[in-house]
Amino acid sequence: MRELLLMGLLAASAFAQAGKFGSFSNSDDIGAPPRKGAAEFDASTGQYKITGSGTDIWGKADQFHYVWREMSGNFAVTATAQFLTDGIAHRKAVLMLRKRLDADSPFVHLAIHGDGMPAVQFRNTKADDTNTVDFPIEGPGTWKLKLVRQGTTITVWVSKDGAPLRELGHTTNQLGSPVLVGLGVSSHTQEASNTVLFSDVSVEQ
Amino acid sequence: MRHLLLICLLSGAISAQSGNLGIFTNSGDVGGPAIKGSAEFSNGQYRITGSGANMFGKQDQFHYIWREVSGNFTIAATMRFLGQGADHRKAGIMVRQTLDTDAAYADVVIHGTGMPGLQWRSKQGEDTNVFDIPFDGPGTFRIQLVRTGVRIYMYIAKGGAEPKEIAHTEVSFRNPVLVGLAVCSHRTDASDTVVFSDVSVEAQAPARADLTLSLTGPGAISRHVAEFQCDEHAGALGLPSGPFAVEYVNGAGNSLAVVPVGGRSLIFSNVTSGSGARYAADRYIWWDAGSRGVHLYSDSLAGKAETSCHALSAN
Repeated sequence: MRELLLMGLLAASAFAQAGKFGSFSNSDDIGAPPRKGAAEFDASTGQYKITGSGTDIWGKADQFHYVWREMSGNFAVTATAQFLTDGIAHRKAVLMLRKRLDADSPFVHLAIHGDGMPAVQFRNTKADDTNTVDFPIEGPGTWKLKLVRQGTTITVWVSKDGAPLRELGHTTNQLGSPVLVGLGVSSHTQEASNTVLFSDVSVEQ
Repeated sequence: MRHLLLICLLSGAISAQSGNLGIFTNSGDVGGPAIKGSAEFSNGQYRITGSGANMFGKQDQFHYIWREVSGNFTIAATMRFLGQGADHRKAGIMVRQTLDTDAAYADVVIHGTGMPGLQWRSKQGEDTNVFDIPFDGPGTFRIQLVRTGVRIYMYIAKGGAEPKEIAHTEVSFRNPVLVGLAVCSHRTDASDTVVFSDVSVEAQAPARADLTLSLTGPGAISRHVAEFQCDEHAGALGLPSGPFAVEYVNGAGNSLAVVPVGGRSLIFSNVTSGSGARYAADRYIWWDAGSRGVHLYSDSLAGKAETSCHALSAN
């Protein structure tokens, strides 16, 4: 599972789309996956349809599609993620805090894999290896994800198919402020894209 | 198969004791805490007293009782703190690369408050990573740590329940590792005592399967075994740190090499090479380039790992 990427050296000049993403301000590919990703926001339903390709969000550098906004201090992010397309078991939909848009930026995220394995993963310093805490696989479904940052503490909750949110635990993290907060999708392969529907999205300061 | 390795690695900085330590071989303070710790084994119980600032950040201070193990294993223990102490005093099961205060490690710990934690320092001198689990107060805990390749699994139960898998992380240790029990008071001016019972360490028996292949083609099938040893990067690629055997099978236009990678027999197949014999399997290349040496390398492991090997003998 530990796969190193073709280093997508992303120039800072990302073609960011602004102003049409509800709770978020921008959308772009990170790490330059060969297949371009996309994000659509439906203001009437509050739903985000995010299509992302890329090797993975893992190892020393990432490839995925990201929808984000900049935030500082403490906040809470909640979203319900549902894969709309089949794909590799370890395709990922994530709630992410990311320092920069560089492919090898520090980050921390709460991920749900395509096979229904929740995970908390983080890269502490630029171009370092990614750390992981993988939880037992509960199977594919509709997953509600919640992440709260209080100082350096990041606490995460998940629930599957409408069950009450369950706290998985917390980690500590030195990402600081400001940080790019958002939703990400990676297909775990450059040969395909995956689409994830995010609904009931809230970002609270 | 149960591997019992009774080799003691004693750094000069460690005041280690040996004697009757049950299933472990040594005990000692790590990181030089001001108040010395101790470990006693009697009536099937380990009574471990440890002081120290913490096991966290870039370095650790605690009392450790350990043995050496290679490969995959399961270690389990029932534990409870005696007396009062700091909220974040910690005790539990630790896998550690060396006895250095800033060594790579992974542990499954219970804090004085009853909060379980999975903690790890991926590389020597780095910061500790932590994931803490929701909890409902102090008590007697059954804890278990399972190593499977790079994965470190955490199992926890409170009271008399059967331990439940909570999560796993990944840490790339070289073999052998030190595995044992650790106690830290989370303060330098006091120590804490923890009683561990029902402690077991089981090295997992590797699953074995015999494979018979019927091949059609010209010529006879030939097999031979060669013994190799690789340099200090062997562990990063999952090779044994000591000597190991590679079996070569040739016949019907196939040329295979069976190499022990990550605790399993990985079958490499010959692929086109400009010089020597180049074999590929999974994300690895085993390349016997004759006078230019033998290498195992991978472009898709972290850091594009490579190790240089030499043949010890051939038969």
